[in-house]
Amino acid sequence: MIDHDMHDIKERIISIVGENNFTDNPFDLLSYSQDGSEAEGTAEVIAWVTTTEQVSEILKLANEKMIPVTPRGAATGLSGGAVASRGGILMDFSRMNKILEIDMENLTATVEPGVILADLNKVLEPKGVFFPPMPASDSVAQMGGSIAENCGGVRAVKYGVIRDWILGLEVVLPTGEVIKDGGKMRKNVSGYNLVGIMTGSEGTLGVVTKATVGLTTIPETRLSALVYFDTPENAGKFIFALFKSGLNPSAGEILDSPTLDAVANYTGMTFPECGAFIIVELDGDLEDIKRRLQRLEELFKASEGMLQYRLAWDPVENLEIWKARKSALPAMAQIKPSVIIEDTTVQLNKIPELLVRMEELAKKYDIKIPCFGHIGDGNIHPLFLFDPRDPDESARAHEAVVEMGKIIIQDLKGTVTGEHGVGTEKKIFMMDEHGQVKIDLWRRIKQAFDPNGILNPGKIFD
Amino acid sequence: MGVLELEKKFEDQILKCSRCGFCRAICPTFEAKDLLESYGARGRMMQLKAVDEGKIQPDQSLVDRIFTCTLCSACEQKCPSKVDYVKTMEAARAGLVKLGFAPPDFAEFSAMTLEKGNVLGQDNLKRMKWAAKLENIKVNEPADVLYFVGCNIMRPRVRPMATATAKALQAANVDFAVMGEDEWCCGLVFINTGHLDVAKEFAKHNIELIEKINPKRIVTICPGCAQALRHYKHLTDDWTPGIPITHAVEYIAELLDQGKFTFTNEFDGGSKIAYHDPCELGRQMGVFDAPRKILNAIPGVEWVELENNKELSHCCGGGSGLQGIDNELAREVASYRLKEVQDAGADVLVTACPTCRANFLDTIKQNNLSIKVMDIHEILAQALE
Repeated sequence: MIDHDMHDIKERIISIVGENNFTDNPFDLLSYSQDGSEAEGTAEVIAWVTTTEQVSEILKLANEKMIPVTPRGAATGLSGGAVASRGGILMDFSRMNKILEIDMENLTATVEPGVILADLNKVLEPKGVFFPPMPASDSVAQMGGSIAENCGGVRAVKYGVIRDWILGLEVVLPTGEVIKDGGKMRKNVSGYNLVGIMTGSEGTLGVVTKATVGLTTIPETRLSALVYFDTPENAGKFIFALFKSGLNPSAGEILDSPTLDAVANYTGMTFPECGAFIIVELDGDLEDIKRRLQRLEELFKASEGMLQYRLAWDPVENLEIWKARKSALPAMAQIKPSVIIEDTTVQLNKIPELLVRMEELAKKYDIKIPCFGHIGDGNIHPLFLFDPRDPDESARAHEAVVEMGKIIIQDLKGTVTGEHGVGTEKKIFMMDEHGQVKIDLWRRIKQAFDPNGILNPGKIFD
Repeated sequence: MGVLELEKKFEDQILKCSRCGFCRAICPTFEAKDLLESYGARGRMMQLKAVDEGKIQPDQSLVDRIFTCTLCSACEQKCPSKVDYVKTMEAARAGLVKLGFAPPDFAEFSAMTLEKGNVLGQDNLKRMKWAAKLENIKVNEPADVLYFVGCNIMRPRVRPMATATAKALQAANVDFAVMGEDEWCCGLVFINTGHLDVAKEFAKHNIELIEKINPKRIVTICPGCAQALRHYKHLTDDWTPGIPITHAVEYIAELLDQGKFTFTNEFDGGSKIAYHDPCELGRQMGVFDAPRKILNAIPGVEWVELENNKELSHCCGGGSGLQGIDNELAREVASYRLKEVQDAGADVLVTACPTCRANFLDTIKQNNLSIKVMDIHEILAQALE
């Protein structure tokens, strides 16, 4: 934006959103310069938009003046997607947060992008329905950002990711035109699936200003079980058996032994010496869950290397079972002040090898890399712990991340991101994972939507 | 060591903030500033980090963002990294004060408080007005219990809570004394805002009087005073109280258990009560059960929990001297809490903190709401008369 008449541009933005929805105070800009990743980038102005027309006006202005625009929700992301890495205008959607309609006949909700996922579910709960995608950040994460990143979360194993629940979108293109795609229909193959391409495009192709999402009935209850295995390999065998069994879990989480050590130190909880710890959650009506819990128990007993298990027969026990998983992240913060949270995803039968390889990587670089994540999706989060004040340790952690990428892509044929997105932080892996031909195609797609490259530039690929 | 000269333990806390943004769900000033991150816990941590690392020079706009945090500690409840936010904020503010960055007029405010002995700038001789109609109040004489009354009771609308607490103590035949006109400000606002040298002056003065009374226990009606008195050991090298310092509700609940109260009246409010957990009493001192026990014991009281209660209670907006620093923001924060009171269908808001009470009363008046604010001890005293 340096080449432009800043004063004039600021005046025009203020005329669009109003004085109270604009700032260029350096400490405000600083407070919006990061998300949950290490990415940094400071915008020159922040505009809080509240209508589709304002979004369109700002994008037209930016397109005319070739100013970068970065859309931002709650910035809970872990890949730099909402960071203004090329400066320019940061467009914040937090104040565009109305639930526009809840349609109980068609089981849909239509919302503005700033609606917080948990807030939507709070409104839906008395009606007996819910919107299933539930990232760990659902208490703050907004619909727009969640769509942009195609969020997943612990229940994705049964309910899918957010893409599976988006029926219709209103989108402002980087050139300012407003399009609508999809609607309330559950089936729709009319033309290119623009809803599909927008979902997970990390705010690089268009800006979502309205979303119609599907809803489903809230299960009567949720109960869980935990089980310990002697080795990651045996835990892996159990996972295959679990998904063959037809028990249809609503969540399946794994914690490796370094994670359990950290949780034990932090909470004082005790765990048996083991290679992996798994939580399986079942949802549905109570009688059915009880029958399925019994079948799960049989499966535990028949599993090789199973050390111990525990079943929760009521909600109180259920909470107990989840305590270790919920303590995992706080526990890491007690070991080292900083963490790079990775998002590796492999096919199910590669999960044990992934855990073993991360353990070897930790030894090689002399850092801690505890892993936990979602077994049903093969989506495991290795956490690279370090102290940024120790340059040597910090360098080792970052080098280990690069090697992790090679292991995942080349050896395990997986992806470096299952639900966090590429943003700026995983760009370095894209050529290795996708190759030149695909990246050239991406570039042409981007060009078609955003000829001047103003919308969230510097994300996914350069 | 960085620009703010923070101890390593506080540097660690700033680094531990992973910027996950979970605090957005609960930070009252972020909410009241229409979701502006620089007035939220994550944004404040980012600003302090950048200043400490010398990446940006402090100015008064930074002061406005850092010193408007009410230190309510709600963010700590949501923080997955368990950042010790309040202590870090206090330490960072002390660093900023050393660099010459404090809220406007704070030097004058400090001087006035030191000169007068109270934060309201009133003649300290007015401190005992609350006891005008009470008999047999010991002042600076040896007693089992020191009743530390605090500055806020000098406001006429807050005064009744001091009287009511004394009445309750008398009803239970507690041998207590007060520091009367010699009591000085507890110093909490100076601890909160990084003015530790000023806080030390108050600590020294009050400790001298505490030693004279030589109590077995200190009770306060302001959770902030209790917090400050507990902090004195960090301000002075040679004083460790060695006695419990508690809020009055904790003591009253103990007295209830011991059967020291005989209720003669039903609470005649004819209304539905909602209880507000003050941040310092609840989240920070862990006192949740005692006020609920008292409410449950008083005949005729019908009360409800607010939507955000106990650990997740919503700040009143008055914490950390915000009324003095940005009164408009303090009232905006209170407005959100008062909306919860209305949503709960309550018309009496009961609390146990004079700062909460004062800020709620000011906001109710400003917004023309029909909510009555009472201290829990007032309700108790009514039932004992």
